[in-house]
Amino acid sequence: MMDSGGDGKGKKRAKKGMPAIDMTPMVDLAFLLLTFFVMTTTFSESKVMKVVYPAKPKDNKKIDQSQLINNAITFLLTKGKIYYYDGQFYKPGNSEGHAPTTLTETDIAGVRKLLAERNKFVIDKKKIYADQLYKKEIADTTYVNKMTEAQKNPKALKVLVKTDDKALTKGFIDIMDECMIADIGTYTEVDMTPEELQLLQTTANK
Amino acid sequence: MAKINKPKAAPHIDMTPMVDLGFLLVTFFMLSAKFRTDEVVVIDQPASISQEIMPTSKYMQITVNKWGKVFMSFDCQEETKKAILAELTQKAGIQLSNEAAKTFLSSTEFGAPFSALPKYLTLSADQRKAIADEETPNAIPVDSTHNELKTWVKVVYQQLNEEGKAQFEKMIKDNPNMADADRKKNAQDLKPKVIIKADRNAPYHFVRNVVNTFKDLDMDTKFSFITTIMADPRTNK
Repeated sequence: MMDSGGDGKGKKRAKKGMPAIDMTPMVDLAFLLLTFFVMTTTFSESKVMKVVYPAKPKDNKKIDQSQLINNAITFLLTKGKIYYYDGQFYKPGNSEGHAPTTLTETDIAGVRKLLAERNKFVIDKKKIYADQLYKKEIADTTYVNKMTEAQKNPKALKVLVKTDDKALTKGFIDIMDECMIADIGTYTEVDMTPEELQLLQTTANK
Repeated sequence: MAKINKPKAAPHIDMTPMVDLGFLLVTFFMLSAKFRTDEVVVIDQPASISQEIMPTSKYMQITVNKWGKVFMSFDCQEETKKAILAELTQKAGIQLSNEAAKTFLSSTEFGAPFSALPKYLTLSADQRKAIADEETPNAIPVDSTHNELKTWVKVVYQQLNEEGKAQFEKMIKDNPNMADADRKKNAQDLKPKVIIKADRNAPYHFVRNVVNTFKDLDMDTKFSFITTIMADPRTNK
């Protein structure tokens, strides 16, 4: 008689539990995979910064500089150094009788302070609008419109960036970044004139 | 009577929860993994506060490495890539073997003058990487006297634009009642974007050469510079 109890033929078998499977290799493999994926995964997506360059002037027509230069600051970049001057450029012995432009050296922290000071008009406006936005007195789109309007105001600072052949990309990106931090509405990169290059070289070699 | 100490077996530890967790993590990382494509050109990116996310489709990327060497890569459909290859070889006046053409279609980044392109395509990824890291000027020429990037940009941009247009038209056909705002957004999304990936230590005038190429072609001069993110000083006041 065969019983399901397993005591046939009088032999007593020990009751078996679940068969023990050696899980070690599986676990090893699992952790190997884990390590691999942890190492190779990249979470951070690259970010991009928008930079708008002026289009090439048509038919060699000169851009009206006086419009551009109104309340502007010009940065001249060379390798690892930043110089700036205010407003229009006057070369030595100019016919208008202005004192020739001189360059002031600064560093990136100085640029931040300088731009925050000069662009106070926009930054102050931004504080007011941001406050209104926070209190829900104005809508999102109104805020954006008002900011654009403030940045286009003649009182808002404009920034021109010019680089020589030794300047590095990092220096350029840093200045563009500072313009963004200071909420400058108009900032762009333009070609350096020979007079400016000469002034930059003499100032840098001093 | 002296007690006999039975040698004890190692205490049994229940590993089940650990294994569970292990597999959970494996699953998570496997599903979330987005592999970094093997970059031919190694770039040390500059930092900025910009939060804008890099476009992942329909872009043309121009890479400027630390020596100022220029490379081209783009994202498009297989068909468009074939069209680009055909137009490029015709405009540049070069002949590619079937083998090289195949490599072109599977490659992502190109950095060789047209004259050296057939040979460049026979190189392995490691060899290309090694060449990219050399100081010698053997990538795409962008001098004002000899500018091959112009041809690249013209061909690639035009093809990407056509691909985008076709997709947009199909979209409109499938969904004629699309709202104006959506229409505008889709049109914007399908427009080719130009990305500049410049090394922080690249002399800037090489980047300016690239920008001037676009100016010469009378194209849009709005670029996206790839940057790593940096804390915005305005927010932690």
